[in-house]
Amino acid sequence: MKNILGSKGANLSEMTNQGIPVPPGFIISTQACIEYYTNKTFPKGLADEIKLNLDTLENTANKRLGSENPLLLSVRSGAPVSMPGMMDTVLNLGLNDDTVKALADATGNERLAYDCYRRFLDMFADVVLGIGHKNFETILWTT
Amino acid sequence: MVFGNTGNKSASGVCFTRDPATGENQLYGEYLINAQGEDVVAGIRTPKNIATLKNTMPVIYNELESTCRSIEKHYRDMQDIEFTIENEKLYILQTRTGKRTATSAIKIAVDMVKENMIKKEDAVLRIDPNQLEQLLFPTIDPKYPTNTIAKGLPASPGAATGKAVFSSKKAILAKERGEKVILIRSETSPEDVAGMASAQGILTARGGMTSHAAVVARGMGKCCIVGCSKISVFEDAGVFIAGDINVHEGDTITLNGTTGEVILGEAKLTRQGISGDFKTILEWADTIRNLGVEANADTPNDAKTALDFGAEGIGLCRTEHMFFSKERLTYVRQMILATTEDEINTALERLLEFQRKDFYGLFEVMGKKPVTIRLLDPPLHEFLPRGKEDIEKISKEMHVSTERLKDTIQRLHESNPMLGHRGCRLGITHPAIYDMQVRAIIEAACELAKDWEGGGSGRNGTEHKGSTLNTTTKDYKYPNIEIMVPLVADVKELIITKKRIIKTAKKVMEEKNTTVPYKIGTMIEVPRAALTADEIAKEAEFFSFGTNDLTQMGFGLSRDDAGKFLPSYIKQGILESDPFQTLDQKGIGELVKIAVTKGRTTRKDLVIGICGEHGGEPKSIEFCHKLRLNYVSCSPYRIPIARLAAAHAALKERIILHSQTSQSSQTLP
Repeated sequence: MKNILGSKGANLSEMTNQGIPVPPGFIISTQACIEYYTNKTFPKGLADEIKLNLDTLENTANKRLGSENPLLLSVRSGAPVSMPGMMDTVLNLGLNDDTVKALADATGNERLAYDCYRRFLDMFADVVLGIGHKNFETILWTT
Repeated sequence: MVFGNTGNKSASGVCFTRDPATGENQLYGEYLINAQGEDVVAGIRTPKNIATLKNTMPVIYNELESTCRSIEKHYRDMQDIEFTIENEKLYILQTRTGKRTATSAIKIAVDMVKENMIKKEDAVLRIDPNQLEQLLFPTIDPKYPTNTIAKGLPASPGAATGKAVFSSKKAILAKERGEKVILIRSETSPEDVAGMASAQGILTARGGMTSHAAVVARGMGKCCIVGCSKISVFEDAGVFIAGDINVHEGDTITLNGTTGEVILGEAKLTRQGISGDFKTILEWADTIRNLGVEANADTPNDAKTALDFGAEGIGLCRTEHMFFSKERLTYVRQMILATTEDEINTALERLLEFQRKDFYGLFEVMGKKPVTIRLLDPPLHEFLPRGKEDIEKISKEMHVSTERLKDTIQRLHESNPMLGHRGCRLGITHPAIYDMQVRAIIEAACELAKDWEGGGSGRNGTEHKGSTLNTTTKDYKYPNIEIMVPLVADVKELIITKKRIIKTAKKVMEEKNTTVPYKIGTMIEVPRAALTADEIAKEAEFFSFGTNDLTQMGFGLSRDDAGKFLPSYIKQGILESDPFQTLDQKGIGELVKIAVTKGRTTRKDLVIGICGEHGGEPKSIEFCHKLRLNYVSCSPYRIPIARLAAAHAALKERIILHSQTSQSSQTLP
C-alpha cells in the first residue's frame, strides 16, 4: 500500500476505512510519479482520472473548483519512506482574484478568504515557482 | 480541504498519542486557534499546550482523545497526528509513527504489552539497542542553553563537567583533593589510564573512534571526545586553544560525549539507572536471546558494575591493566630493568601479591560465573617512560641511571609493536611473568575455595547484601576460572605455554593442598590462528575472538593510523562503516567463520566467544548469533545493549524462519 500511495496517503486511506474523520480527497499514485520522471510527461489518462475524481470530490462537497462557490484543495506530497521536512504542501488551491471574493461572500468571512489567499500565493510561489517564502514573510510582518 | 482559520471556533494542531519524551500515556501536543497548516510548527506564533484544549473546547478535546486512541490501537504504536478543527468539527490530516526518546520508547513498549496491544517480542524489537546508550550515561539536559566552543568525534557518550587538566598526574592529584576534572591531551597512551580513571571525562585533539582514549573511556563508561582537530593542546603550558578562546588549566568545561560538543563552563546533567521498565525490557530480552553476555572487566569494581548491568561472566580480564597504577608500575619497571635473577624475582614477588589480591577480589565478586583471564598481552616497552623529562624523573625515583634506562628503552624499542614481542611470544621467551600470573590466579582460587568451604563469607568476613556470596544458598565450591593465552598463531605456542601453566598450577595446588578446576584456552586474533583453528582446538578448551587485532592483521589496517583515511573510504563507499566499530563480515567475518567451523570440527563442545570492541555492537552481535558463538563480551556499560541486541538477533532469525516455512507451505500442492 505504502509503495503505491506513499505513507501519508496510505495512512489517510486506512484511517478513512476505519471511520476516522479525514477530509475527502484522492491520491495520485507513486507509479504515476515514476512514469512522469521516466518519460518527462504525465501518464496517458491521468488528466481524465483527475477530472473524474475531482468531480466526485466537488459533488461530495457541493462546491466547484473556480466557481462562485469555490472548492479549495490541499495538495500534499508523500513518499513510501519518511522524509521529514522534504515533503511540500500547497494549501488553498483554487483561489484567484475572483474566487477569493466568492469565498468571502460564501463564508461571510472576508478575513478567512484573504488569509487563505495570501497563504496560497506564498506557498504556490515557494513550492511551485521557487520564489522564496522569506520574501512573503518579510512583507507580512512589515505591513 | 478543511479550514482551521475560520475564526475562534477553529484551530490547527499536532499531537502525539503518548508523551515522546517520557512515554506517559497522555496526549502530548500543541495547537493554535484560528490557524492553518504549518503555523504550529513554524514557530511564528507560540502554540498552546494541548491540555488547555480541554477547557477551550471540551467536546472536541474528548473526541480528539478518543480518535487518537483508536488510531493508536489500529497501528499498535504511538502516533504523531496532525489535526484541524473547522467550526468545532474535528478532522485528522495525517498520522505516522512518532519519534521518541529511549526512555519513552521503553515505557511505551512495556505499557503496550500490559495493555495487551503488543507481545513481549514486539516490545523487545521496538527498542533500538543503540538508543539505549542515551540511558546509560549522564546526559546534558537539553532544556538549558550551552556555549559550544569546538566539536570532535563523540567517542563515548554521556556528559561530564570539570576543571581542565592537561596531565594524568594532575588528574590523579585533583581526584585525591576531591575535585572533578576533565583530562585534556593531544592523545592518550596506556600510561594515562590512571589519569583517565580519575577524570570525569576525556578530550583529545587527535585519534579516532577506536583510538586508545576512545576504547579505554568506553570501557570505563566515561564520557570522551576524541579527534577534536579544531583545538590545539599545549600540555606543558596547560592551555588549549579553540578558535579565539583560550581554556586554561582550572577553567571549567563540559563535554557532550553523545554529540562531540566541547562546552565552555558547566552544563546541567541528568542520569538514569537500570530499573523499572528498562529492567523489564531487558529481562524479556534475556528470555529470548541465545547468546550469553559477558563483560570485559579488570577490577572487582568493574565486575560489580558488570553484574549490576546483567553480565553472566567476565569474558576478558586484561591483566596488564592491573599493572598501570603508579605503585605497581614501579615494580613492573624494576622487573624489566633487572639485571640479576634475584632482582627479577623480587619484583615478581611484589607483583604476585598485587595480582593474587586482584584475582581474589574478581573471583569473589563473580562467584560461580566464569572469569576469563588473559595473560599479559602488551610488549614490555609500553611500561617504560617516554620523553626526556619522564625518563629523568623515573631514573631518579628508581635510583637507576638515565643511561641504563635509555639503553633498555632502546633495546626494547620495536618498529611495529602491534606485531612485535607481545602476548604468548613474551610468555615463551620470558616465562617468569606468566608463571607469576598463573601462580597468582591459582593461589587466589585456592584461598577463596578454602574461605568458601570454611563457611566464611570472604577473606574479610564481609558479606555483600544480596550477592551470590550468600553461603546458605551457594551451590558451588570453586571460582570458574578460564586462563586465556593471547596472540597464539601456531598450536605449538599454545602447547608450550599450556604445559607451563599446568606445571605451575599443579605446583601451587600441591603447596596449598587444594585442588581447583580451571580451563585453558586461547585468543583467536592472529589470522593464522583462525586458519589453523582445527589444530589449535586440540589444545584449547575455549576460543575468544579478539576482533580488534584480527581486524588490524586481517585487514592490514593500523587502528591508530586508519583515522586519516577511513572517513574518506567511507565517504567514497569503499567501506560501509569503520571495521573497528562494526565487524567486517565479508572478510574478517569469514576468518571468524572458518575458525568456528574448524574449531568445532576438532572439539564439538568448544566454547567460543568474542571479546573485542565488536562484542558490544549490535550488527556484530547479530553476526555472532548467526555463527552460533556461545557469548559476546563487552564493556560493562554496553551490556544492556548487548542483551537487547542478542534478543533482536534471535527474533530476526525466528521471523525469517517463520516466513520461509509459511512460504514453502504455501507453495506445497
